[in-house]
Amino acid sequence: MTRRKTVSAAFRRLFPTLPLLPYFILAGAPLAFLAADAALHPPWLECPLLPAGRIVRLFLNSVALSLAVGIVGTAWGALAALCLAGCRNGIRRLGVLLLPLPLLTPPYILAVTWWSLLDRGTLIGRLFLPVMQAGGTLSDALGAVLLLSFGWFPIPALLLLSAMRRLPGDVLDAARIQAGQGAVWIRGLIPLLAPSALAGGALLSCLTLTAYGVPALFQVRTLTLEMHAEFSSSGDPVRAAIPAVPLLLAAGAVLWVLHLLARGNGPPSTPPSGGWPEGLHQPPCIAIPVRAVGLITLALLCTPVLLMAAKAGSWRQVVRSGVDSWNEISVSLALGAGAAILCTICALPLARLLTRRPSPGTLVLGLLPLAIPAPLFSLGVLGIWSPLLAGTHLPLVVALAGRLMPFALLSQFVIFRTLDPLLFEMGELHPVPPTRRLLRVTLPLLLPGVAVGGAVTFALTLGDLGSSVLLDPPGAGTFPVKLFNLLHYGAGDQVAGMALCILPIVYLLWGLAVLLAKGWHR
Amino acid sequence: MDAASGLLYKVGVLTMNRSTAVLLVASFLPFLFGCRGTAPPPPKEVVCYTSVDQPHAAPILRLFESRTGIRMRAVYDVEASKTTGLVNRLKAEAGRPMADVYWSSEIVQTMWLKKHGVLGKYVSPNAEDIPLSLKDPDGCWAGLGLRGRVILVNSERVREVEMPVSIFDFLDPRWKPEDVGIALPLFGTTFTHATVLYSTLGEENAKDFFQAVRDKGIQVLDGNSTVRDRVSTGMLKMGLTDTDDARSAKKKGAPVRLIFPDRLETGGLYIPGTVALVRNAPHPVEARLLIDFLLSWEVEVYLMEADYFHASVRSPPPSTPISWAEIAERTPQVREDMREIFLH
Repeated sequence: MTRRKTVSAAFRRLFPTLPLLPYFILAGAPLAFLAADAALHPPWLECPLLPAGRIVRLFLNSVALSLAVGIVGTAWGALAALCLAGCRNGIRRLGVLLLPLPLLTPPYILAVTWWSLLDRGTLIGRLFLPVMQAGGTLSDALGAVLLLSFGWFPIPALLLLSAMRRLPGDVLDAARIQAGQGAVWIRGLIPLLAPSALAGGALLSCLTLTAYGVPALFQVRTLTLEMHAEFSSSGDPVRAAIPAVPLLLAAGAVLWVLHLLARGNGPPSTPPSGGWPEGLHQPPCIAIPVRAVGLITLALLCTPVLLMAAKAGSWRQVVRSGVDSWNEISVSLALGAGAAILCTICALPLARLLTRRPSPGTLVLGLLPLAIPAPLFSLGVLGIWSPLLAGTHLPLVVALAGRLMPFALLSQFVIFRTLDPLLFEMGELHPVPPTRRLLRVTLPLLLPGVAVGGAVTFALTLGDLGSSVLLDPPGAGTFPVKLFNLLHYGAGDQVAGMALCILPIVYLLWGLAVLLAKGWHR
Repeated sequence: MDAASGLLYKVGVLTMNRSTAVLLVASFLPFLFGCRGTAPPPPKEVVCYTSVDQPHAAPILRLFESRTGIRMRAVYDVEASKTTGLVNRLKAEAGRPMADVYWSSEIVQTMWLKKHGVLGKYVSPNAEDIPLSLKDPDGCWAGLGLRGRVILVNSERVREVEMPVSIFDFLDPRWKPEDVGIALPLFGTTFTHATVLYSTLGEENAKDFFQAVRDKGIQVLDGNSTVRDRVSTGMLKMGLTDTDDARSAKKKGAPVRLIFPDRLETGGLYIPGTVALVRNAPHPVEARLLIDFLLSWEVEVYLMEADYFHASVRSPPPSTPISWAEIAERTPQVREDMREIFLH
């Protein structure tokens, strides 16, 4: 009897952590495999544990790039969000639908598109190439910052729009009667919106810390590139993973500082009422730059598609590229959707735990997969899952979901932080099954975070190379592998044709997801 | 039964409404689409891992499929993963290989795989006319086509009289560091080039050359295609790359010129592609047929006409006399030196 009680008590203690099991199976198991492999092969003892010399310089480069992208992207996102908030309802709805398009476009497609502008045959190329030649590495770094900021500014913009919808309009109106518009902005609106802006900036910084494709294309030397180079040259996962430690600590530190800054702040925890507060009316000193940024952003949203259309040459080329690559496109879309759904579901319990009992340890544990380069993580997945799932796409789905889960986790954590825990506790009082509570209460409340996290993971899976090369089942390759092969071959028209085929499908899926989410929310 | 129902109730299965059920089923549809690889394999198939560019390799593999009726399943590598993705995969799968044939765009990685026991033995009848220096004495691999190493020069930015003739011209003070580029010599053909320089120039001289490259601050880029693109656009005046990359730039109309460096001294450097059987390949009979096909003269000519290969292994141009076995022996030391010079 006593033994049964002990077992029962132990089970009860363990029960709250059981929902974390999927997270640990997906993200923790491959890392545990790598760690065990390292323990069995002691050459790691020869590796320096403390970064020195070049590693420190590269780490500083990574941090500088991530800070620059965080600041530029957040500023851009904030201005875009303000511009949309000040628009009429119809335009705002259209804007919210269009806003995530750069986020859903794989960064390498954006890079290739903008890069094509610098062709010597174009006017812009003739104007800017001499500037870039003169600017050297500085112009490369600037290009990388602008491109990454353009690709990811929708993250802070969406988070800010979500926070703006929860602003208390009546309180702001009352404040405006007492004080001027400027004072309401400085002492009311900005402090209320700051946590969402900070969260968006932190997400951008974390994304940039581990970005590979764009820094590689622009030749910006970062620690992530170094880890890939180290792994490619030595073939030793442990040697390559050691430089990841500072990156992991940096990402953890950024988020921990964010957590401390955001504690007790944030917009009131009421769920969105459906209307937009009048208090968002902007003084002229803000309104003019906001509108200018809105117009520029609108132009930039259309530019990649127009550039690719010009590069492809004819619609026949687009159709031919689409037909030739249909298998790869469909496989990549399915993998992306599968990984995004898996991420969203498995990250939820950990995001909740992190909100209820925040600790640096949990945060670093949740972020760990982010700091491991894709090829290393995939080797862990290959070691654990391949004997069971060889020849299928499932190891690749597991690798993508496991490695990208921190993005889903962070997006959900950010929204959890801004919501009143009482809302969830009230939901728990109802005697309904947990799945219904999840689908009717938790997920609708977290919708902005779930949407951002899902969109980020989906877009990143479309750009994945490191995992695809290691885990693709034979005969069924993914879209980025084919696209990079064509890029290497120099087939710019085919690349543009393929990109023009995949983008409308991705955008259509986003539109459907928005419609579905709206119906669900109601 | 009651306990089971209770559990199902608790997790919500029994109380789910129709829309929830549809949503749950729909969320798993992508997995079903994504699992086409689970279908039972047809009786005859062959799996080929290749680091040859997909636009070149795919038509050849399709031709093999149409001629033999054997289903071809390929996995391609990309330069962005330093063309080492498949090598790492082959090593990780060594205990339970999925691949039958490894068709590589270069030779050093193949020899590394042989050293680690990943490759099996097969001497193809089509390799008979390949010179001994370009096939493995143990029958683990055979050469297929040669790619040359060239200096690609932007002819709009470099005058005719200034054209470089040697890689040592990169160190000439008249070229600024930001005018010249090479790929990171830690992988791919640039690493092979570095290893060959160790063999031909001697360890000290070769190491001094790369140290001088580093000290001068010459642009060390991500890959040969990046060197090509930067020279083509004029962001670099010149850079070291492969013939296939250089020819693709020329085909696109870029103002570039190809120069085979150090031709007078050593005859230039040509690096063979390789074809190898994977040890314990799941489809050994089909794998041998594919190797025979790949090593045929017809495939080599096709790839030369497509400007992927510069020359045939059957009639190699005059070049640096190289013992690839010696090169393979040197690789660990060269790799360490390159890591020390370029990564530390």
